[in-house]
Amino acid sequence: MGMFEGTGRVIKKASFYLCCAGMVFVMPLMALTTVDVISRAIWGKPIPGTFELSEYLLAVAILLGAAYTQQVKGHVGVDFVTKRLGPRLRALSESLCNLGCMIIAALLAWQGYERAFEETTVSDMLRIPQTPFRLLVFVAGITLFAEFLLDFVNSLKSLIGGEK
Amino acid sequence: MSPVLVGILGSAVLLFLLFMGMPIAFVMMLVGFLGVTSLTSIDAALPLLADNLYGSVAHYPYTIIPLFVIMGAFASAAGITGELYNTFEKWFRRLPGGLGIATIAACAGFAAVSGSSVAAAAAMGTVALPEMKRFKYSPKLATGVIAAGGTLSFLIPPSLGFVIFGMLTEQSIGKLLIAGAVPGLLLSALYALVVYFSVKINPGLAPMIHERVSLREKLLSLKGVWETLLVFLVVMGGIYGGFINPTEAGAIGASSLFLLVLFKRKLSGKAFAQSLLDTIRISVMVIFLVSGATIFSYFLALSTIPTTVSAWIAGLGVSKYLVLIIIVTIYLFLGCFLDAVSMMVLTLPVVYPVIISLGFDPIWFGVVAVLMMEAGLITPPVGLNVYTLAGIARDVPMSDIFKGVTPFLMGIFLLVILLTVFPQIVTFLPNMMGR
Amino acid sequence: ENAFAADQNLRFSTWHPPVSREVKTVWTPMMEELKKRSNGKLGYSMYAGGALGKGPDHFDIVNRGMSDLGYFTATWTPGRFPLTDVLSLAVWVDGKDLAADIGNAVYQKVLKDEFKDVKVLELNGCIQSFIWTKSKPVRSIEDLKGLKLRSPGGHQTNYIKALGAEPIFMPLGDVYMAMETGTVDGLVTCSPLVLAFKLAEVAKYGTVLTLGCVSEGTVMNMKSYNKLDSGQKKIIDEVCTNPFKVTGGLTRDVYKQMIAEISSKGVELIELPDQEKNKWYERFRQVTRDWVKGLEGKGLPAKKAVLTMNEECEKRGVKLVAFPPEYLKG
Ligand code: NA
Ligand code: NA
Repeated sequence: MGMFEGTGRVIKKASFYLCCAGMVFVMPLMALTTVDVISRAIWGKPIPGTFELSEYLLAVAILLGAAYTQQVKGHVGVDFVTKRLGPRLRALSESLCNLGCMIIAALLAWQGYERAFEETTVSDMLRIPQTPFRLLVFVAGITLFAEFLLDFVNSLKSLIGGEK
Repeated sequence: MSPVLVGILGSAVLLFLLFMGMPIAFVMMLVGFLGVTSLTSIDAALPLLADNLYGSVAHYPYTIIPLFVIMGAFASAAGITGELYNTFEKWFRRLPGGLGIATIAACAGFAAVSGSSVAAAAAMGTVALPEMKRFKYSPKLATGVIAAGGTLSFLIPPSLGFVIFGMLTEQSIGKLLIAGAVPGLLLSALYALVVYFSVKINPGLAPMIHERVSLREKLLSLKGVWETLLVFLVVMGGIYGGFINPTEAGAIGASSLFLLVLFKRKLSGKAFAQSLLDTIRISVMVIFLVSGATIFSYFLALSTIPTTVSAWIAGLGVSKYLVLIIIVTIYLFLGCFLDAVSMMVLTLPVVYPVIISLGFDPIWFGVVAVLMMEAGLITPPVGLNVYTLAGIARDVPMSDIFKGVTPFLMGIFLLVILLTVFPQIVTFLPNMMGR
Repeated sequence: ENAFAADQNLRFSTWHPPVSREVKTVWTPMMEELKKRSNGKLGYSMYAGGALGKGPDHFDIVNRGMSDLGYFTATWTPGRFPLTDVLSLAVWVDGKDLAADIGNAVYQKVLKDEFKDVKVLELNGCIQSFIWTKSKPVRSIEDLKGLKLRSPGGHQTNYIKALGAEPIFMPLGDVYMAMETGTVDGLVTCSPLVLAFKLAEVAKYGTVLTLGCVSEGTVMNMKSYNKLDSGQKKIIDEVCTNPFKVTGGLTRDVYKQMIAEISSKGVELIELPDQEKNKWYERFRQVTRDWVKGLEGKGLPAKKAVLTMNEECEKRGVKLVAFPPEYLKG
């Protein structure tokens, strides 16, 4: 049990720090767009590639924040049925749901990885390759998987605990 | 198994998993993935999730979501929204549900800037929820107001709904956008009435302070908000003058508020980090939802359910208004599962010619269709706006939010009836336009 | 050989709106033609308007088998089909029937390597595209300074840059809102799509000078193709190698009607004097030279591709204005 909790803490820390790393990109996103508008207003010249850079910045911020969002249960679900279930049934449905989510996360990780290296598309203006950004789908998938795995083990624990 | 049967089965699985409490975005991804696999092949379905997620997170129009959410966070930190609601409260204290009505007005203002209703729900949720909570509004009413108010973005121009409708029906998008303005204002008014009567009937929803506010005090309170209003007007001017787009407005708003809170020293490092964390959490949730909804829509498209249903309507051969009622009902039903854009793309090519052959005005139908899409955003079980709110107001059960928006849904129906009886409400403005 | 071939229901996917000229006069008639010639054995479902995915996804939609057939735009995934960009060099082509003839010939000679995984039915450069602006008429290169123009990607992006404007790459479906809200001041696209995406409502001016247009094509999933019997394959080849000719949609005759329709919607078409035109062409030629240099550096036969393209255009009496004349000297 101790080892599991230790691993759990590491996963949670990792998701949190990844999200922190991602969220700072909101500031350059904000600044870039603002400077682009100002530059257009004053010098009549936009910042080249603002559009596609914004897309990449958004990708970084969102994909790195995906697992943390799950950690704080930010991905919403419908609760009005499960709320009425007994603790054991609820634990059972939670385990099943976490399993379903693990499948999705695994697919995102696997295909995110495969697709990232297959992809030869670059951004149109600045010719920045998509590959590193697509690779973040893999990062999002694998960290989401870890978070769901933790939730899954916890729901299993309460399922078994509920039996006693 | 026929594609339609697979589609029905998939929808049933979707409902089951939703009620089991699985996070909605992932339910739609999972069922969409399984459905596409069974209707095409595993090779086609495998890369779909990763590709679509990437396509959704690297999509310029969605940058508006974090930008507006963080703008809201900074506005709260700077005390701007607090002051704004203090002023509202002083002015509308004796109006039942006054702050709710003010929030509807704010949503309508936001709708005039942005075309995205989830962005509206996310941004207004961050800003207005804590304020209504401060004034002891019931969570049910507060979340209902914002979930419904957010849908106004879809109707009041600029509106993505009309752009899509115009492309699908060869109607002038310019006329459609103009046509949406009056119904948009009417719907805002109806929403306000809903708030008013809800509170009239059940005063516990929004406690009133009966102490009078002097006119002097009211006028003085304006001092705290005129800058905000000025900024809003300048931004609106910039957008309607064509100098900046809504996303840029969000960025500029967020940047200037950021400088303001730095300057006023109103943002601790910790609060700043928390604003960023909240911004990411809300944006991730919204964008994952959108991605899930898209994948599920591909599955439904492959199942041919939307086209089959539309073809069925086309072959009915019953009276004009009965067909209209059936179409509205079916849109409501499909709106329970499909996102708005996919719903139009999949049904309009068949439904639209039927409507026209029955002698309905095309622009008028555009407004009715967009209203139905709007309703779809807040009807259970799949209502993107309600989900967005549930992600923000995390102490409010989702069932309460769905209950909270139901009276507003009545507002939409009332408007559809009103527009059917008096189609001129829609058509008089566009008919005045030259081309 | 296979008299009892099973009925096939073929999915066709495109990003063109369901009521657009493309779908109404080319894709639906093309699929109907397949049905007719196969005595009903080749049925179809039409997925227009991006019902199965966004514009740039369309190659993969077919490649992976979400759809059996589909129309894709190579230029929308920059860097993925580098040589195929040759079809989008600035050229005066005013009908898709002609564009497909040229594209298919160039494909046979130099582009095959870029499409190993799918069955290419036809490739084409789209019809000549122009600059369409919201409020500022473009009568000279100077007028373009600082304008934000939506670009379809590829050479058009380079041309916009070379002319001193600011290219912004985005799918057509987003352009109306972007014009309306001022995210862009104008766009580069061909006239059929101005109509299909209702852009004549937001654009007041069109500058009639070809910027070429995107490279596009009709492709079929390899497995879906191989599943068919030889008779059905033959029908597909016959009908889809130049669907524009077979259906009579978007041909040179139709083009004239479309230009008239755009004018009638109140868009002012601006013709440029020859001297001004040549100034633009010279910048386009420089783009070709730079592009060839870049790709040759990566070991791709870009110069050969440009020469082939020029040869196929000349053969059909079409002017490839972006062709650097010194290439002919060896
Ligand atoms: Na709007
Ligand atoms: Na709904």
